[in-house]
Amino acid sequence: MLTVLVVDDVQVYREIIKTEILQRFQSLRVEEAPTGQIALEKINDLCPQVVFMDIGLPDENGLSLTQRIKTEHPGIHVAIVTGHDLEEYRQAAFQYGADRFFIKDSLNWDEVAAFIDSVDKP
Amino acid sequence: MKLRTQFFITMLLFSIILVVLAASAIITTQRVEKAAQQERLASKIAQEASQLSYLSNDYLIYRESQQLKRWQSRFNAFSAEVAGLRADGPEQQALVANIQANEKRLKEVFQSVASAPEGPSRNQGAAFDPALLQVSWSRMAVQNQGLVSDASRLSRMLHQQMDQLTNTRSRLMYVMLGLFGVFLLASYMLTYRRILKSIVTLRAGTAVIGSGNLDFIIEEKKNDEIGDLSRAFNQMTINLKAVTASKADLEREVTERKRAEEASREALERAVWLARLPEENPNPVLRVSANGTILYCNPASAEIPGWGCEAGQPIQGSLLPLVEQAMTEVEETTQEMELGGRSYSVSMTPFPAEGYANVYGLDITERKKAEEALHQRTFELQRLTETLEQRVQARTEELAEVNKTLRELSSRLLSAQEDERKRIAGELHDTIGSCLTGVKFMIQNALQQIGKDSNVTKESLSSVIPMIQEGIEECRRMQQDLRPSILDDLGLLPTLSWFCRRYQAIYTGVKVELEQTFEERDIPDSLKIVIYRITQEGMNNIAKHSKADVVHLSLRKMDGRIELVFKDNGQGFDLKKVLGSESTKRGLGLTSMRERAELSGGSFAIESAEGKGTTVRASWPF
Repeated sequence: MLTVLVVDDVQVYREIIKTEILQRFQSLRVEEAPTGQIALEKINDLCPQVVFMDIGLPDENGLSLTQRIKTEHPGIHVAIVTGHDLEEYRQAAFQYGADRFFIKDSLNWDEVAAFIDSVDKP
Repeated sequence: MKLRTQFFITMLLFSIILVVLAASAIITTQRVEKAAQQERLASKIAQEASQLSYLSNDYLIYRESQQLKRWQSRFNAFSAEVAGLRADGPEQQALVANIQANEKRLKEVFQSVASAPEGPSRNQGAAFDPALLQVSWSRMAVQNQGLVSDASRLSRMLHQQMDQLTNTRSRLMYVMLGLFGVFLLASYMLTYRRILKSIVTLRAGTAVIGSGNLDFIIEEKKNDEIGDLSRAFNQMTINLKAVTASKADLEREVTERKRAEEASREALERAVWLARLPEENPNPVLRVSANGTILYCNPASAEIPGWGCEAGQPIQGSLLPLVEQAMTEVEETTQEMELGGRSYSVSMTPFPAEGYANVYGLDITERKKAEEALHQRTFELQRLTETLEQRVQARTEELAEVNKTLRELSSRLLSAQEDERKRIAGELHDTIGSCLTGVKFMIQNALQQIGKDSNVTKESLSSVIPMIQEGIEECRRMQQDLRPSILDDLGLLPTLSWFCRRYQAIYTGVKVELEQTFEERDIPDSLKIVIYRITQEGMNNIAKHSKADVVHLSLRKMDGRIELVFKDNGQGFDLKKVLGSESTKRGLGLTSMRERAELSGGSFAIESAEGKGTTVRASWPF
């Protein structure tokens, strides 16, 4: 079963992403992490295949965390999800090793589903 | 006790003991001889008794007169010997008495035998009747036997007595020798110790006195010859001390006389030495008579230019009035005057009774010069003090001005903070507040239409989304204005890049040229927000005041420092005029930029001139 980890300090955002994903993939398992530390623990325990990562976490920078995950677990697919629709953010996300870049305010759920599908059925 | 008496008594005791012992020895010897004599006598008596026994036997047998005579003769000698016996003890006396008694009985027995009539058997070859003969012979034998026995016993006793006496004499000799030795030893010890101790004490005393301590008294407790010697020595010491004391007095007197002579000589030398005082004085010293004639002048007064004094000559004209004044007023006068081109302080000490006055000149030229220099220096010092006070006052005023400025800035800061809050409140009201109000109105409207026309409701609700999106964007804009999260998320370089893009979007007439030659990791985190705020303030100032159309913004490394520069091609301004104006009239922008730079350890500079644009430069140690 595919496991998806949603990392965001705001519960509403986590709930929205989780709800939308579960509506499209019933057989998915969706886990949540409000901090970078918990995210790392869950990655080690659950070995998720997909991670949706916010940048502004209370204990760590989401970009640095992404770089670390990609270094230690190259098989995990990480998508940055941020509210800042800026080119600087987009460039930084890919520099730090993210696979995709999504804007929170204008999330296209079909693109999100396509991203998960690409992982589930490469 | 005198030593002589002690010796006498000793010798007397010694002689008495010697005499007593000698007498005892002599007496004992005599007693020994006497005992020997008596012993010999007793032995002889025993022999004689035996001889008499033989003779009496012969007579009894042969009854011849010749034998009778021989017996009698021998008996007489025997009797004389018995009579010569002397007894000392009672035992001896008893024996002697027995011998004498036996002697008598022997005589009686023999006489009775001799006087007995001759027997009938005479002619038969027997002198006496055999019975009588038997009895007489027995009687005589008993007597003779008793005599021999007693005499022998007496002889043994006397021999024993002689031995005892001989032993006694030997013991006496030993005792005499022992006593003599003990006496000699005791006498030697007593005398030696007494004399030696006294002599040691005397010798120690003489040593002390000999070392010069004539007050020392030798101990004289003993009343003997050495005690007499000690007393004589002490007396001699007292006499010697008396003689020595007299010598000390003499020496003291001699010393005092020498001292007086020495004092007199020193006084004379001192008088001569003091007399040289005016001679050696480098200053003029004179003695002048009441009419102005010089009585004495020292070499200095003759040699120093302007004085030229000579004994017997009248005093210089300029000094004469002073002499007259001193003699008239009878008090010391002092006056400064010029002589020979130098300044002198001239003192006159009058002695009217003697008819002269002493004149003392003192060259005060150098002192006057020094006084003038000191006066000049004091004047300069006063002037400097005044200048310093003026500068202190100016600094104090500046400080007060700075304090005033600070208070005003603080006040303006509070005011600006309040303005900012007011602006944020206004923006919240105008943007998010109005947005939420609109959303609320549209949702209420949609709710009223539910049930009437479902299509209308969907459209109504769909139209809410752009409004909400606008609210979200306004919210994010305000958030970025307050604290750009990009700075925390991505760093300073992306932030400056974003800021310039946004700046150009807002101020469309201004072109921004951004130059960044730094690595993100080279900039300390604490400095990032400072650089951003200075940039934000400076760029806003340019937009508001410069009327520039190009701004060059650079962040680079220069001479070991991080340097932030923004340069515009605007109208510029008169820097002195703006900076010289009261702080209250200046904007907060320049001040806040300077404060931010300097508080973070950096420096801040601004260059501007009217018509030549403005360059703002802030830098920090790298």
